[in-house]
Amino acid sequence: METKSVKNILLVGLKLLLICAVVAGVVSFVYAVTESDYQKNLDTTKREAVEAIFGETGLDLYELGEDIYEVKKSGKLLGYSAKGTGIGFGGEIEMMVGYDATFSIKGISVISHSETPGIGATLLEENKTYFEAYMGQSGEDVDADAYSGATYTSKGVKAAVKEATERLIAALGK
Amino acid sequence: MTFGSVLLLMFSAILVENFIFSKFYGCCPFLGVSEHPDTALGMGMAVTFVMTVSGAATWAVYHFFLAPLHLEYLKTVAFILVIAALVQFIEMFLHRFVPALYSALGIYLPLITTNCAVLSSALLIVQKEYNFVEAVCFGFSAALGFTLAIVIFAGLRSRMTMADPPRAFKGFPLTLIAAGLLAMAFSCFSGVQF
Amino acid sequence: MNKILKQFKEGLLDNNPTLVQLLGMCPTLATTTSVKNAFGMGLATTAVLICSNLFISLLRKFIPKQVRIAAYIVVISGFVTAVELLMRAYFYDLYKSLGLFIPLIVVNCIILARAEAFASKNKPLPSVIDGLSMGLGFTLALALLGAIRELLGSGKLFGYQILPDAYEPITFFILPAGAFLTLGFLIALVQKIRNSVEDKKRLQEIQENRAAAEHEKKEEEMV
Repeated sequence: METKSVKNILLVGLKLLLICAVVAGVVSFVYAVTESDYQKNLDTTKREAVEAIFGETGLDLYELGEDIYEVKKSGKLLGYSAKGTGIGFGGEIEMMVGYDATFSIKGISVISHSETPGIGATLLEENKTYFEAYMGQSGEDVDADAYSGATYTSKGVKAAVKEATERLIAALGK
Repeated sequence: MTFGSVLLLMFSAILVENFIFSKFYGCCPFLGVSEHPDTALGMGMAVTFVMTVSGAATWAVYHFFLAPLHLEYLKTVAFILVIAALVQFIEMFLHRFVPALYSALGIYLPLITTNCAVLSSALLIVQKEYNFVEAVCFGFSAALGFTLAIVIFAGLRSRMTMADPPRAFKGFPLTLIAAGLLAMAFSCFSGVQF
Repeated sequence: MNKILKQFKEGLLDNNPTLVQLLGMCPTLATTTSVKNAFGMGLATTAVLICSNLFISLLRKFIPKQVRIAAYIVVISGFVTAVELLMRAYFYDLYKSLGLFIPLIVVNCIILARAEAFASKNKPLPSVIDGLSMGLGFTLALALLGAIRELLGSGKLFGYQILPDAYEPITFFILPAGAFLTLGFLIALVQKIRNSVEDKKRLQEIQENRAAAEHEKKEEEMV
């Protein structure tokens, strides 16, 4: 009786282990198949963000650091681009900030956010004129007035632009 | 990281980003086990206990096992297993050594494995790249937020049993509408920042 | 064939997992800010539900009784992770907007409930059909709620402007509190319909009983 129950427990454990192993194997297989496409998606999102800022396609991006790029087209330096994140009303706001060759801000595009639809999200997705206040600014002390009704989203945007600028400056060592 | 920043993290997890009213994590027990304040408190305490321990355990599993082996993509499978095992272990431990606590929380423990608040707090800890102390504090305070919400709501519901609503609204619809009104109150906290 | 139709009716209407059984409230409330998200969530859940039902049904003799719940959770979480990996590779936008709620499909009570109540006791084919019909019932409920919230909350459907510009969107419906209220009213409507169907049935029964009683009485009088 004693040995039988021990055997039973071992069998149960073994079966459970087998199920776990099969599941882990299947998931690893799916991961191996899909990983490259996921990385491609990430790259495309960043590239599209940079291209939207510079208004051109077929740009050459040279990575200066993690998500910091030197933007060139057929050998000519167009400017730089860096990713920054800030905390808005609903969570992180991820943005790509583009700079011209003299390091003043040329454009901003939003990569991801979780702001309230109809309030903060409208500011980020539809009301692009708000970002114009940042255009042409340079250095670490970027600033713009908060957009009334979406103060926290505005704060998040400011923090993200600031972080992007600081990271670019750090990467260039200037 | 300072003491102040941990305190802010806890405040934000309890009120501003309340698991139920701003994120909808853990709605099933919130709507299911909230008929009476006493049971709600029991459920809340059981969740708090499990979430604090699981915050620490899943953090350790992720940083000492999954990350070094580059198996990050298996985190959902690993975390749910850790949580299920942990709940089982806590149940046995309490049964054996703290019978008083077991008799108070025992019946709620099996329900916790499928409480999405526990799994989502584990996943959020990884996503937000918290360190160990922050992870434990986050798990604890998010669970406190859950407890706060469920106890307040149970108080509301125990009064509602006296009400006589139209027949179509009896039961679940009325519960949801009351939850909506409470969510409105909690939405005042969102946007509180420092 | 009739049996299959009956299963679909069960999942979509009579025993709708969300509106009648009241399961899986977290994704129902959280991902219905727009029809697109609601559909994405519903279909992802359906995919997991079909796969997990099939597997658990196939393994129903292999899985030891004592640890069945743990085994179900492992199988389900494996499929959920696979769906998550596939979505981030091929439906990246949807993956981003659903966020943490994709891994949380693991703890959606509908899936575990169907595994325990149906798949573990039935053959693979009915289990797959059960998964499909329950999944579609879930998707239907989510899409309905998503449509109401998106239309009232932003005047759009599937991201296209439907209501005229003069309509001032009621943002409240997209906020968390609006989710609770809208679902509350939707389920009240479902209860209203179910009540009236039930009442009609009962009324008919009473009338039939009375008619039968009168008939009997007459016969007695005749005798």
